Amino acid sequence: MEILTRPTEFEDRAGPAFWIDEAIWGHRLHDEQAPWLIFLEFMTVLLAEHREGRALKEARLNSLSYKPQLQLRLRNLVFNNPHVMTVQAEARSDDAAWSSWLEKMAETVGGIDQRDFSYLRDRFESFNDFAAVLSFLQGSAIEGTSNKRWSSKFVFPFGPHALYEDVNVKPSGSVSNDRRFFARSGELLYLMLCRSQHADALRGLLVTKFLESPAPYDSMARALQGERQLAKAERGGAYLPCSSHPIFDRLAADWLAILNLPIPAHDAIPHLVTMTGLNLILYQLDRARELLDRAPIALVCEIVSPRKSVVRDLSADSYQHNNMLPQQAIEHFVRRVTATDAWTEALASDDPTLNTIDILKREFGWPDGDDDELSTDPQEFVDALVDRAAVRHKQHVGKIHMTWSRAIGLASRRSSRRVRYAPTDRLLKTLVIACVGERLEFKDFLVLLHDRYGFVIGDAQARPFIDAGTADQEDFSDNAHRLEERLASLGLLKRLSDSCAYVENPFQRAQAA
Amino acid sequence: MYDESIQRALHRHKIRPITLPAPLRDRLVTMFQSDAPVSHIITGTAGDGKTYHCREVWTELGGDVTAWNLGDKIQRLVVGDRTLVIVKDLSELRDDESNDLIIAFARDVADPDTRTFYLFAANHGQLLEKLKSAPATPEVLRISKVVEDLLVTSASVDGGIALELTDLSRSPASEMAMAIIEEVTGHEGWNGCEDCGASGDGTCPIFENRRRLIGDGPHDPFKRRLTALIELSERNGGHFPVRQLLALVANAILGHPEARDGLMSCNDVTNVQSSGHADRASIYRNIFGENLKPSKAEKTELFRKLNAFGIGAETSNRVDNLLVYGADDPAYAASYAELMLNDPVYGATPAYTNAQRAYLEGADDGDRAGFLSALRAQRQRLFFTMPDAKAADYDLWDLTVFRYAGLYLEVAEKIAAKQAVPRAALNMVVRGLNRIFTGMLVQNQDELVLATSGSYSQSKRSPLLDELISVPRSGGEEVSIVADKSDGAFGVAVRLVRGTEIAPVFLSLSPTRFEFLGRVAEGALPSSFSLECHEDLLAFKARLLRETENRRKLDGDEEATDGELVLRFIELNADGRAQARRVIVRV
Repeated sequence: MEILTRPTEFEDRAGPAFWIDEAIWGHRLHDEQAPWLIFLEFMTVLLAEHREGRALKEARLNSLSYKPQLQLRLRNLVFNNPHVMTVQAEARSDDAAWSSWLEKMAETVGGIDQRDFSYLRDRFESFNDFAAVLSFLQGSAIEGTSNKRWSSKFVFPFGPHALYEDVNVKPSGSVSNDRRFFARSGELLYLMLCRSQHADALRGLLVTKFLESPAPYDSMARALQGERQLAKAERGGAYLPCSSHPIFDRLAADWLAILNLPIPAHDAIPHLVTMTGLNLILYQLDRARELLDRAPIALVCEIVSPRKSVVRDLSADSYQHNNMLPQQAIEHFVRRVTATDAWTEALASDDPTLNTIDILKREFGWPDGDDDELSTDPQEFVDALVDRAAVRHKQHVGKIHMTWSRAIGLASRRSSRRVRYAPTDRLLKTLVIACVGERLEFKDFLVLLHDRYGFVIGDAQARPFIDAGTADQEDFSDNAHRLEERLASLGLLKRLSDSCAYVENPFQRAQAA
Repeated sequence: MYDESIQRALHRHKIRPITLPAPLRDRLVTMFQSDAPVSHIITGTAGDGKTYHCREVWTELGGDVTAWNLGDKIQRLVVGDRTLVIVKDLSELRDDESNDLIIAFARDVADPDTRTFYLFAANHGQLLEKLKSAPATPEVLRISKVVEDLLVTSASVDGGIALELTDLSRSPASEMAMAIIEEVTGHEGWNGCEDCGASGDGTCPIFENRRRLIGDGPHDPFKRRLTALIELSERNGGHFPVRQLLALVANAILGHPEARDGLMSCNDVTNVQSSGHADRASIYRNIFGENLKPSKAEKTELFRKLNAFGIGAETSNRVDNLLVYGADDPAYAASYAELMLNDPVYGATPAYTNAQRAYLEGADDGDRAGFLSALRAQRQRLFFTMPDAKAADYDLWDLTVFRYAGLYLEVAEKIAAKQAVPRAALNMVVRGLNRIFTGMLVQNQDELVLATSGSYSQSKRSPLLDELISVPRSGGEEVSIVADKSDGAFGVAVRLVRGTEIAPVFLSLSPTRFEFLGRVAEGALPSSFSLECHEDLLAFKARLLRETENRRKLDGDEEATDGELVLRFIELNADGRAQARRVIVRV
């Protein structure tokens, strides 16, 4: 399994205490960064790198360093501006409204030295117009109803002026990048697409669709923000452990398929977000599987049925099984060091404690500095490291499978106590849009979903379960039948007779008509 | 029920087969006898009568019945100086048998001078599979493309191929259902019942069910309601092949949950009568397969389609008040007498009145589940028997999931008769569309409020106004309900300009979409079928937006003021009407 060396040029004291999750999956995947935020972070990176003339080009592996936009005036106006309603309620003249608001705003604005917003008076005919525009931007914000801090809310990515990085603004006014919701998963996404076979094709599409021909509403963001504002420091240190991976290529192929559809660029975004989430989940599982040397990842999907079924149980089992993989992988990853020759040599050497610590330092960057609590027994070092790694893993990286699969509509607990793979209509639609060119026979569609994403839905894909006697052929053929009905009711499938149906890409069809 | 086994059964029991209208048969026979025959493929769902048609064409053209019955998979018949090749089921052929045939077929249909013609039958999947597995010669590839186009779009662009295709699954099943009911209930075999003791006193459930199916004069609503269900189901894309209709009628007459396989034979009748459960043979329950085990009924496509209407589970307060309190409530007395007491066989049976009494008096050991299932049966019965005069009063369609189905059928009828569509339907559709287009509870129903989200179109709220389109004809704009030329149903058409520069934008209205719009117009957003319809309607909106954009281009109205961004926000006034509010941003 390919694990690139840890980059040393961006050493950071606040960085990870040991290099385990990072070595397997990269620095870093983070559960609190929902797929939508991964996409936004990606766009921020893309914009910064595009301005430097190197969009989706990686000069040297893991050397990404970029300067994102901050756009703090825009963000204060849209998300840190509770005064508009009060000012409007006072219902005085337009002039009075503006000056009252400007006064209040200057007091509460965060993270900006220049607190004068009077330039806005020239941009709007009245205060009420200004309020209407703000309310529009709030209404179309990404996860606008969330209760995140104001500096972690995002306007819709209309274009280059509406993109900025997540930051922490302290009451003192200092702005820092605490990697809370832009935790580098978007940087990893960027690196994955850089390293895919389709980087060149993607670059052209992404730049023309999202950066160079923005929606007219992007100018709204520009009007509010004024001159664009960049972060003070470069952001470096992203690390993706493999120079290529089949999932990178597939992810890029999915993006290409979506971007090439005859639909407005903005309509493509939700689908890009969903396919990103799905491919990243599979990336996490597949790296774990590779490390553990297990069979290819399978996701038994129940197409929700009105009552409990064998497939529901198998689907929950399969979810549970996959959910455990990453943690098993880190344990295996640490412990396998004890099976190396170097370890045996170190144990047999004059100073086994020192020599084994050297190995651990080299492999995992741990222990870092002096840690008095450590015993002198090498085996106990390893156990301690496994424990600490497991504790840290469970906090974030270990929750990714659970959080993201729910976020993209892959897993749910609908009418059951156990979580299972039960794709929602929205996910199904995205899958059809991303995978089906014009039309595809239903059976072939099931095969395709299995080959590409490991989805087990129909009886042909569930052979191992049927042969093992854990399910009947009928259980899975019913499951496939339910999918057929769902797709038909979503307008994604045309049934010709009881034994033949075509899955159709609705957008390609609209174009043909 | 396969054509082959039916032929054997007929022979064994020596009864006259029922005959059903088969317009395609006559057309095919005439066509193959004419001077310019064209090869033909019959396709359709299993049970649509493909084999039946092949056999009939064979015998009508002078083929020998005995030769047919020998069961050669490929039958050849000389008609004049031409040869007709009939294959009643392509999937019966092994690949090595079909390959040569497909190659010859592909060659002959492309040859204008051919003397060999073909009649093939296969359901869609088999047909495509056979073409795929045949050797990929240029001719075969060409014919495969033609067949696929014929199947999916009913038309082929390749004029050099003389081939027609009939899809039996597109023939209207509601007419066929009527014909089957008439043939089955009017069969002379029933004459044998006259001497039977069981039917003499009028308590034989089989005979009773047949009597109800025949109906009581032209005003009897039973058959009309049944065919209405079939029609609605078909318009929602659920086809009923002939075989399923035959099964439906047979099950309706013979069903009883306590009989073997859920179907009574004459020998069971005495037992059923003496058990006191004759009411459970109710034909109104049998229609939904309630005589069968629930798992069996669910697995049967026929009943799955009919149970999608939720008849028995859905109800209204008024109907349930009648059923539960009607016996004692003077306000309901007249209706109760007419709708319940009038029907001692399946209506106010002793079993029902006892359960009702026990329920009302709250007896401790009251069998609530039993009464609830009796209620269910009564709702099913009322759906089929409610006289038209009372249907409006009791909101008949509230007994189904499709509460607007009555209005839907009325519109469909008016459209077919080329009469004016009820105003209420158009208002409802427009109000529903407006609420979905904007994501707000707007009241406008005399104009279409076309709105955009500004971000992505799947977004639920759309605060930016694109255009207001007048519903009554005005300045070339018009929104109306018109016939759908492709399948005889109807839809809503939005015309944007006079003349033909921009074709009207059309949305076909299935009963499900119509129901969805109705519920949304009423103020509710039913989550159970919201996504599927919601997305359809958003796609419709996207098409409208594209055309209004085109119109602005044609009119030279494109707003391209430099340095200014003009926004039109939607504001709701005190009456809930959407209005535009212009906002200018200097950028």
